[in-house]
Amino acid sequence: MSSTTPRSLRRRVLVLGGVVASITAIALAGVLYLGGRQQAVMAASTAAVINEQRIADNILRGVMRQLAVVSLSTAQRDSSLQRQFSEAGADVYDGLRQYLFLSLSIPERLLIERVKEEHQRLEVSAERAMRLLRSNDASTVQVREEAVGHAFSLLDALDAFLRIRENDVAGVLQEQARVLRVLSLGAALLVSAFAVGGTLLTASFLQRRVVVPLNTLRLATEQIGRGNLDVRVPVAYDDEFRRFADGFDEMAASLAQARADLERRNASLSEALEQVRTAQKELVEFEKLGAIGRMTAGLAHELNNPLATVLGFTELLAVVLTDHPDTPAAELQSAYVEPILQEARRSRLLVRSLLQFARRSDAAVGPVRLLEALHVATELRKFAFAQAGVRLDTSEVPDVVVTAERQRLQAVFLNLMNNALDAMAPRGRGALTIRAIVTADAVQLLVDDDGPGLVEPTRVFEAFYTTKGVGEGTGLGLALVARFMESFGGTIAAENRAAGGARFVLNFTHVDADANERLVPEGSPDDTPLPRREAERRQSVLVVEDELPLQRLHRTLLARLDVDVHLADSVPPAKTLLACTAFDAIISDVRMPGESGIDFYRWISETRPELASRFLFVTGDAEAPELIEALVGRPDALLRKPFDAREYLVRVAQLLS
Amino acid sequence: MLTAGTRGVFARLALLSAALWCCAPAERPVLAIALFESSVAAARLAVHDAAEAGSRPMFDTLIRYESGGEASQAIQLARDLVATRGLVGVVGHSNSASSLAAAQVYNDAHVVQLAPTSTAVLYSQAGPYSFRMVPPDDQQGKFLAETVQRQFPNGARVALLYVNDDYGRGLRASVLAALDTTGYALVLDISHVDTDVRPAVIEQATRAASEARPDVVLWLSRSGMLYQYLPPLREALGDTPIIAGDAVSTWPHHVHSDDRWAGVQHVDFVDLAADDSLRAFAARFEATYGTRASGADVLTYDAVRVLIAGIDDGATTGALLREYLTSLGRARPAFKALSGEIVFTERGDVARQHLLVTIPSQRGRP
Repeated sequence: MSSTTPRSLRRRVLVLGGVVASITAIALAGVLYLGGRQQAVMAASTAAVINEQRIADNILRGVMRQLAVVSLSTAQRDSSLQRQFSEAGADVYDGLRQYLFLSLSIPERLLIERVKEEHQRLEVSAERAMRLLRSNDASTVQVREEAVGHAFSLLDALDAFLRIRENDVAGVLQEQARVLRVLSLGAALLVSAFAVGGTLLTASFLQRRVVVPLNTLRLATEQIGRGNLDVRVPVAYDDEFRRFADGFDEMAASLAQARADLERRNASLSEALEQVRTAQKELVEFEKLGAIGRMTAGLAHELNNPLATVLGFTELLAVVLTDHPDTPAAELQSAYVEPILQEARRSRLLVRSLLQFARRSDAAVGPVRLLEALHVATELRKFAFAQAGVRLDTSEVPDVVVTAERQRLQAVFLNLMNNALDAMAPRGRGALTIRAIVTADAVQLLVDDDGPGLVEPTRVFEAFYTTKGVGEGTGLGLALVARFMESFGGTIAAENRAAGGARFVLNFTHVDADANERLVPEGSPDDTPLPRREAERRQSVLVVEDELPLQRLHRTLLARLDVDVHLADSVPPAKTLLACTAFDAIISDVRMPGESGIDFYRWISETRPELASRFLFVTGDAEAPELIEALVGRPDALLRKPFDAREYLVRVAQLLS
Repeated sequence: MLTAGTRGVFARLALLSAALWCCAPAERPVLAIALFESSVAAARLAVHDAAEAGSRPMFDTLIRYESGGEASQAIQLARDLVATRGLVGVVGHSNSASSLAAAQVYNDAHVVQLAPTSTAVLYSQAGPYSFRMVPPDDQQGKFLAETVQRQFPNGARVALLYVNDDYGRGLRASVLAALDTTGYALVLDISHVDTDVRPAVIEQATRAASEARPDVVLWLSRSGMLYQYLPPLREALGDTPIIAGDAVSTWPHHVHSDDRWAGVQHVDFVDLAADDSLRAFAARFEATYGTRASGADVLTYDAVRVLIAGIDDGATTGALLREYLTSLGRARPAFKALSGEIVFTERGDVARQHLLVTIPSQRGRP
């Protein structure tokens, strides 16, 4: 594996910029150099043209001056003209000499040599002419003509030479123009090529060195986002991206590790949570059982008292009926039956309250009669309060409907009562006062006691917080109260009263009157006579009950409806009776040996569906889930034990009608 | 007269040259000689001597003759020569005017031009490839003026006859400048064209000289023209001294039966009697070609030998040959020639002493 360090992107950018800048600088320098050189060539050409023009002018001027001197010497014969002639000749020769050292073509050089030779001949002839003039030689004219002839030859040669030079200059200018065009085109092409090349190079660089790594990182990030923590970024990138990728890989590895840890912790937490839930359920049940247990003594006493009254008055009634058979019925009714009936109803209420509290409830939160729930708790704890010498006052609680769940609300009241009782019982006195403040939207309940007050009011709702001795409390009672209140959408607060004792403030949502009207209040004892019916035709009622006393009670009560009663102590004989007898109504217990009343109802629904609507359950376990499930759509098919005789007869009469 | 052996040698050399010219590979350096036919003898002798001295046949020799010494002819000849593949050097041309006219052609082609006798001042400005075996005329003008002063210490009437070309004009200017400092009277200043030998022209010039009554005649023209002017001048001026420039040093090329050259003084750069080698050269030259050797012949001989030495040294291009010439007396020793040690100045000249030579009578010579 190679150990070479990846090159830095910054360095690559710098190198790329340096290369591009260098190439651009070189290209520009080249263009500038070529342009400058061409400019210098043009300047040199221009200067050469001007110089040659000056040289040619000097030559022509010199020749003209020499010819003029020759002409003047004809008239004046002045010796100073000889000097002027020589000076003019020197100027001409100087011009020709300058031409000699120029870069000339062979024809040009031949022509300029011809000019020079003609000039030499011109001078020689002119000198001869001037000399002959001074000596009055007859051949002067001939020599002068000869000089003029050389002058013309000279001018012709010079003219030819200058024409060639002009053509050369024109050619040079054309060549320069061509070179300038080529340079311009070349510069444009060069700049275009560099622009395109630079763009492509930069694009390629960005694609290879930036876009691809970023795309790779983006894809890797998306993979991470999808939960694939095993993704890793390839290594072949520049230093910056390499470090970023390394960091990314480390992050992915850390995330994978963290996720694994989290999953392990989640699993542990789930397991622990399940254990806590189980423990919580157990504790709640334990708390309920504890509460029930604490109530058992009082409840037993509460039941024993009416049972003792019932038993005593029944025995007295039996003695009176035996010893004084003529005793008037009204006396018997008021002296013996009424106390018996009153105490039996009291017992029924106690039992129903206990059942309601003890049963599990999965009912949803909804409108609940506050006072009804409070009465259940009051009935359960009334004796305990009385025994402890503590007064329980709920007289100022109106019959309002609040948002709650009935069973949990009963538990709330029961726990608050137990808590107050535990606080005040050791002193053997005190009072628990429950009052309500009702507004349009809320119901506030104030639960005040005269106890020693709360040690830490802010902590009383914490789970497992208790100030009681070991084994005296679980620390869950008030925590459950708070949780239940929260589930109602309400609140609960605890504080110490200024006058002494504790105060719990419960806030409920006040439900409107319509919801209130939908709730049917528990029926109150009715003192009207039991219903009796004179049947137009004989009807048959099948009673399935395993308890003999209850069989006799059914038979006795049904006799008032003028029907034939057929009794079965279990489901199989009931089915046998159904096979041979037509029944108008069926009354069945739920819990019986063998098949239950629910099984029997399902069988009836399948085999004799016409009788399903005339089926009435009479049971003390009205909250059984399977029963509730069987009664879906038929809530009137249930009568709770212990039932009221009047209600019993009304319900059966309705089935028979 | 040439002996049979010598002619055989020359014949073989000519054949060898022709064969080399035709068959030599293109990269062999070529040395050209462009002179008057009368001046080529010294060049031939130099090539011969180089071969005899063991110089390897690493070059070809191309000889072209000039006829009139005119500039236009020199240019045409130079154009033809530079078209020759392998040409590295040219010994030529015959005079200052032709050398100067051809110089730009050689410089443009980067071919070394070594002029044996061209003394025109302007030649020094011709270019980096232009060399010559003599100093420029600005020194000769001063030498001539001093000569006049020496021969006529009490003053003299000076008649100046010059050829109206680059040579004559340059030398005249330097002579006039030198004479101006002496106060000697210039009584005649006549020019002529190098090829104009019309009798009327010569007669008019001679008459003018006679009318001027000079004490001395300064002849700043070439030997061929002086050969034409001498008889009438002698007739008109009697024994008036004639002092000529270096161009007359080639007077042996114009010797006929008369003795008209006798007494003419001229500037020369080589004294053929100065040492044994020069005397031996003169003797051998005369024995070979049947004519007297001149100082110009010695300079031509040396010019060819120094270029051959450069080629032998490895100069296969004009640039290398030029580098060889400029290095003489600097990076390498001076070239030992008949005319003395050759070291070129920065302007391509060879510094020499000016000698005044009086042409002896030719009577009695074979």
